[in-house]
Parts: sequence; structure tokens; C-alpha cells
Amino acid sequence: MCYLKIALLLFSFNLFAQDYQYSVKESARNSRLFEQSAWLRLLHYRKGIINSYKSEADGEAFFTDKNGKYNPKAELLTFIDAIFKTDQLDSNEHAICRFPLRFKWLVSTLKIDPTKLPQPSCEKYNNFIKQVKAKSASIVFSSYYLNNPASVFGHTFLRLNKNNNNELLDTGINFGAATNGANPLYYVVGGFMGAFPGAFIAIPYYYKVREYNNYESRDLWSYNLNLSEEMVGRLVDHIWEVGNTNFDYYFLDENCSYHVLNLIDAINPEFHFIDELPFKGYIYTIPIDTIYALYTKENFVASVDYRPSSSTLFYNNFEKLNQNQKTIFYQIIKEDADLSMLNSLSEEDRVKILDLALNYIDYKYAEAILKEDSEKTKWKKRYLLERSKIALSSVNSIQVHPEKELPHNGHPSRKAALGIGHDSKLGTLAQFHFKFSLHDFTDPQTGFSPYMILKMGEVNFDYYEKTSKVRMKNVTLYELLSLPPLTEARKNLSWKMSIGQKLIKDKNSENPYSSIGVEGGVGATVNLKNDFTLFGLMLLDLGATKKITNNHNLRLGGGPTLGLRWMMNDYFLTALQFYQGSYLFLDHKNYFTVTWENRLYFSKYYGLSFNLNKNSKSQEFSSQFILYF
Amino acid sequence: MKKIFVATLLLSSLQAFSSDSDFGMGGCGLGSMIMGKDGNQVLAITTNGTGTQSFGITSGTSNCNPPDEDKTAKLQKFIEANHVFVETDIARGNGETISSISKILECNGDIAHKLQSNYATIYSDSNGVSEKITRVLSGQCAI
Repeated sequence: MCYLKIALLLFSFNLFAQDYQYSVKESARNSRLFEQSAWLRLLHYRKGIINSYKSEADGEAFFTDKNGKYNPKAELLTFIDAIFKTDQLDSNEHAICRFPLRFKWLVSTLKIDPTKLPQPSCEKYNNFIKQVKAKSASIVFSSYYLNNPASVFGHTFLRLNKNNNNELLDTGINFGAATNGANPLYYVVGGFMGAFPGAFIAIPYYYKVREYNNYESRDLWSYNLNLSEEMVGRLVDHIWEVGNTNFDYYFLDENCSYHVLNLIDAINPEFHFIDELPFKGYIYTIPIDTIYALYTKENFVASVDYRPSSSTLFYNNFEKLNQNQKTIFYQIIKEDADLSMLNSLSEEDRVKILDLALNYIDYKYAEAILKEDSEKTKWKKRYLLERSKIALSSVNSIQVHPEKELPHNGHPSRKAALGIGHDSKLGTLAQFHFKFSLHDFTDPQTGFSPYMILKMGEVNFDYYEKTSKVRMKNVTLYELLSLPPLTEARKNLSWKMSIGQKLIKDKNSENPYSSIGVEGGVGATVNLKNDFTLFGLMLLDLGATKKITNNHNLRLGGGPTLGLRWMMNDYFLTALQFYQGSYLFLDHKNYFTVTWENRLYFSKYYGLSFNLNKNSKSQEFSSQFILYF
Repeated sequence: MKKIFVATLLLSSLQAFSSDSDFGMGGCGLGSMIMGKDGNQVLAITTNGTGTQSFGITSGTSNCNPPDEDKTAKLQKFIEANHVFVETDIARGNGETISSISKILECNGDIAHKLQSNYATIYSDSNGVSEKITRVLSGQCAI
């Protein structure tokens, strides 16, 4: 009798639970919850052509339904079943533990009574929340890094802040590709094709600081987000959800910066940051564009913090020394230097010079010191020992960062220009220019290093009135130009590399002809005054052409190029570039170009350009209207 | 020349990417990588494309980020990864890593000068640095 009672009770409870589960599903179905943008975003669905959906997540563990990647409705209904499951309550594998934000959203949207649901323990999730202790969140921009093709355009990642005045112990959330030892060629090709799984990891922020700031010497900028405590909680929950899956990594569009920004969009249907990216993030995502996107929502960035790299620290501290201190610095910065000469100095002077010596080794020999190379470590230790004997604290400086240098104040990454001009041989012409990204010698320099040129996907077309023909004048697939000015302390070479097509106007051919190939070289840059930059490079130029003279398809040559730029202020700059090359095989071996560009900017979005261009054969004058967008 | 230049550029930088595959799958995503082959920590993770398995978050970050209660392990991990700057900051008698140490060990008052005056002892050799730091600070911190 008694057993029967219990059995009946259990049965009715079960029935009751099933009823409830059924009614929850019914109301989800009736309210078409699976069409709501909150759900679509939490699952990272993107709309395809003809109303179909596909989630960007590529790991099965991100879904509860086997068709979840393509079917938001099936995923939602199966998810409801999953949260009612009464097994796996202490394994961390319960849907409530794996998808805390989806769960919370569902409970609040459908007003589900949580007491009627299973209560899994979710130990790992709770530990994660406890460890991270997130009070606020920041997006960190790691600046342009020309020495690594994958980092040229910079990098972004998230930081979850404990707000306890010690960033180092905060948590970094990074999205990266797992390349698993792929060879470099496969890595580059695979990176474009999405052959590598990308994943989020949580890691103490100090690893990120050491990696970028010190090992790679890149400045870090934290964009501290204006998120309510509730939103921060959602963000952490969502990070937990995506941490369990992988996303195929694409260099161009679905890369680190895209996915980091997408985390922000996912937590609030009212956020539309991805839509603010060029082409809504569909073709490519440049890290700085994701920072610009944050500024499209008023007051969304609460503040910006700056963390100088090892090289910035060294060069800045060097400039703070007076001539006498610099002389002593040079005398002691040798492995066998006699440090006793410091004894005659004041404590303050000793601190300054020894600190700079430490800066120098940390920057110049970052890798050796990190790997505890015995020679360099021993060398550094001599300064450390001397330094430890002086009880005076060091002044840790560079808190100031001029507005001009803040990356988010830079011009938008895309550029278009329309122009009209006249060529002495070809007559009147119209010009069209488009650049996908990012920064050129004559673009507005605010927010960018004026000594770095970084171009991907630039096209120039000319239309000639006389012949009614459109000609491709120049296509740059990729161009890097690094122009660090020489200073007393900095002796870095300048260099250039580019891949693309250009139209050659010389005496070897009646008509202009195309050369497709590569160009590169090395040289040096000096700053004559702060706003006056001069560089010189020896270039090598290799291209394939149609048969010009002597039946050759190859255009191989090189020679010096000189560039001069004067930035009068943020609104006006003028630049002169000269190239004189000698080419093998051709009848007329010499080729030169001179370009004089004058730019007048009304803002970081608009400008005018007046150009004079002279080459071996003709001269051209043109003026353009420029738009950054 | 140009091509070689480009190729070397690509190769040299990409090796950093491939190198992290040598680290095992055990532990947390990075924990095992951090103690890379030659025992260096930051090098193993110097890449945007940090190549870990995809369970960096859900398998718990315990190995790379021990719980706050395990102060010894937390300090040890911190010092391993920051050894260059911990040593510099101790010799200078101030700096960000000192306040991190103070936070981890829950110290009271100024520990910077105490560490500075013990610099030569702590770094007499490179072994057991975190133990030596703990010993120097034992009176001032909750350890």
C-alpha cells in the first residue's frame, strides 16, 4: 500500500515535470522565441541567403541538437529538453552548467520557475566565476607589429577586470588559431581558407603583457567598456559557453578581433557593433576597426589606458637624460664595463642611469633574458646588484599619451578617391582609387605611427578621355614600409616590401604597360625636424610584363628612392618622392618617377589631394577628392 | 633578394606559431605549454594564434591560474612567468609586480624595500626564488 503511494507520487511528480517541460516548449514555440535576436546571437547564428541560418561555431559541443548549427528552432527545443534532464547532475556536463547564459535568458524570457528544474552542481563553472571575479571588462589593442605577418594589423583580446588595482592578476580572454605545428606555407594558405580551428582561452593577463609588451615590444591600449555589472556577468557566462567550442579561424574575416567584438554583441540584442565594421565584418576585419566600432555607441568606452612596450620605455627614458648622463650610460652599457665610475654620481643620477641600462637589456635582449641566457643574464645582474644597493624608488613614467597617438583617433580603414587630371601624352583623364586598408605615407597621421606604411588591397584606375579606355594603373596586394627615424639611441634600418601591379610609362613602349611582381629594399630614415621626415632606400624591382623589347617578359632592375614629407599640422602635409632605376634587358634602361603630393584634410574623413607626377615619358597633374570610411 | 627577404620574414615569424604544438594536451590549455621544452614560459605563448586545445576555458584554468587560496602555487606561477620583471622590480625597490606579489600573498605595508634589501640573497642563484621571497616576507604576509 505504502509502496504504491510512493510510486504514485513519483509518477505524478514525473508527469507534472513532463507537463511543465511540455508547456515551456509550447510557449517557446508559440512565441517563436527561436527567431529572437537574443537567441540567434547567443548561438552565433548568421543569416545566409534565402532565410537560412548557420552558426559560426564549428564545435559540436556548442549545440544540444545534432542539427543545431543550422537550425535555431531545433536547437532551442532540444535545449529546453536538455535543461530538464535529471541525469549528469554532478558531472559539469549538464546543459545548465555548459550554457549558463542561454539558460538564464530562457528562464527570464519565458518566466520559468527555476524550482521546477533540476539543480546541477556546476562546480567547474562556479570555480571559473570565482577565479575571474569580473567587475568590468576591457578590449585590449596590441599595436601594429611589422615583424610578424600575422600581427601586422595589430591584435585585440578581452580583459576581465577584478578592479583591485592590479591589472596583471586580471584575466585575459584571447581568441587564436590552433595551428598544431603546421608548416609556414600551410599556415598562410590554411589561415586564409579557415583550415585551423580557433578557440578562446582564459589566461592571466600577465602572460599577455609579457608576450606583447615585452617579448614583442608592442604598446598596449586598454579600452575600458562601460558595461553594467549585469552585462559583465553575462559576458563572463558567455565566455564560458564559447570556451567549450571552436570556430574555424580565418585570417581575414573570422579572426581574433571579429570574435572578440562578437562576444560583446552576443550579450545584448541592443548592441550592433559588428554591423559597424566595414562590410559588416563579412569580407575582412581589421583589429583597429573593431576599436572604432566601440566608439559608434556613445560613452561605451569609459576610459583608455596605455601600457608602453619595452622599446617605448627605453627610448622615452633615454630622452629624459641630459648629455652628461647619456655619456655615462654609453660608457657603462658594455658587458665588461667598470661600474665603479657611477660612484662619483648622486644617487638620483645613478638610479636614472642604472634603470635605463635595465630598460635597454630588457628591450634589446628580450628573448635572451627570457630564456635565461647565461651571458646576458649575468650582464644584467651586474646592474641589478648595483641598483639594489640604492634604496631610492624609481620613477615609473609615461602615463601621458598625447591624444594624437591614441589608436582610436585614427582615420577609418577604407579609403576612396575620385580625381581628374591631365597627362602630357595621354590627355585628360579621370581617376578612381580604392584602398581596403590601412595607412599610407600621406594619410592623416593621427592615431597611427607616421613611420609605418601598411597597405592591403589598393586599386587605382585611370580613364583616358582621348582613347575612351579604362586602365588599371596600380594594384597593391600588400605593402609594408617601416621607417624608424635614426636617433642617437635608435639605429634601426628602414625597409620596404610590396606585392602588386603597376603601370609603367617609359620609352620602351608606345603605350603604358603593366608590370606585376614584387619590390623591396632597405635604407634609412631621419627626422630633420619633428614634422620633417626624409628617407632613402635602395630598391630592387622585379616584375613580369608583356614582351616589350628584346622579347623579354621580365623587368628586373633597381635603384635609389628618396622620400621627403613635411607635416605642417594635422590638416596639411606635402610629400615628395623620387625614384631612379636602371633595368636590365630593356632598350631604354633608365626609368625615373617623381611624385609630389599635397594633402589638405578637413577631418579624418575627408580631404583633397593635389598631385604632380613626372616619369621618364610624360608628366601628369591631378587633383582628387578623398574619403575615408 | 626580395623574395628571400619575404620568405625569411614569413618563416622566422611563423616558427613561433608552429613551436607551440610541442606542448602536451595535459592540464589546462596553457599550463602544459607554459613549462615548455626549454622551461621558458612566455616564449611558448608568444603568438596571436596561441595554439592550445579548444578546452582552454572549460577544462578549468586551474593549471595556469591556481585558485587564490593556493597562494604558494599562485605565487610560483606568477614568478615563473614574470621572472624578468620581478627581479628588476625587486632590485629597484618598486614596481607593478611587487604589488601583484603583495596581492597574492595578502601582505600588509611596504614589502618593496624589504625585498630590495634582500635582493642579493633572493637572487644568489635562480633556484627557489618564490620560496625565498615567501621566507623574506613571512612576517608581513598571510602565509
